[in-house]
Amino acid sequence: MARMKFLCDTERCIECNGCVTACNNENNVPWGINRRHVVTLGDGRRGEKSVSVACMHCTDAPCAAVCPVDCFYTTEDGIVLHDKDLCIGCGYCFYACPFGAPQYPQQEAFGVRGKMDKCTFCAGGPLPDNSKEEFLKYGRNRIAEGKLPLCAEMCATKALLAGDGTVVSEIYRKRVMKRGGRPDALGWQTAYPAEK
Amino acid sequence: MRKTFFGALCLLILAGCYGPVDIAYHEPARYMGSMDPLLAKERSPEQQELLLQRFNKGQTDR
Repeated sequence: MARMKFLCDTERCIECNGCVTACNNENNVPWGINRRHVVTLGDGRRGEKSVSVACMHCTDAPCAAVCPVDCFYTTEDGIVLHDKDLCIGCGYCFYACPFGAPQYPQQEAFGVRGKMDKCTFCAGGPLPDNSKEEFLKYGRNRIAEGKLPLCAEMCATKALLAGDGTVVSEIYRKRVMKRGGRPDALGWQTAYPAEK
Repeated sequence: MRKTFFGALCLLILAGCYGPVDIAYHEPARYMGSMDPLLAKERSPEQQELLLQRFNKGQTDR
């Protein structure tokens, strides 16, 4: 049984935000929510690094541990999903999550928030696969269609990988062995010439 | 007579303090929602093979 994981290769990520756009478009994400974020460290300085972050589908998910209504479940592939019919939008999972994955759409005026929304690894939720109800609540169920998350499939530099953790880590290991610690991004030396 | 009455009253009050001892503790992370049909689909080796093929097709290095 596969264990689905995301991995973002910071040496390859060029902060194009293609993954964010692909996710928002594919899952019809509500306005004001990004299930995925691109975070850049040392922006504009030599050696800056960008990483695409969303729900990391933790093995021992802290969001599930703190949820007062127990709306989280983990599939056999290790994908952490939740039931929006149970969610009360309390925000505990937001505080527990180390990646800031849970998001809350604005429901009414004065900051009243709705039910939690997060990355589903494009696996929908606890409704009939690829039904209209599932799409409206959770987004597209690509896993049921035999496809993988669109953010990773759309990544132009193949920085973001999504799939069986064993296969993903093997690819990353080969990359590290090949580049030997040198930056992998194309044109890096042109954009950031070595300091003399 | 008066002592017996107060004794009975005290016993009655103490009896009112009784509560059930089998407390329902909250078990964290025990999913309480409806079943996802995807779970059954994920178990099939064909589905796993399909996902692996998809990965090798689109996400392996050029």
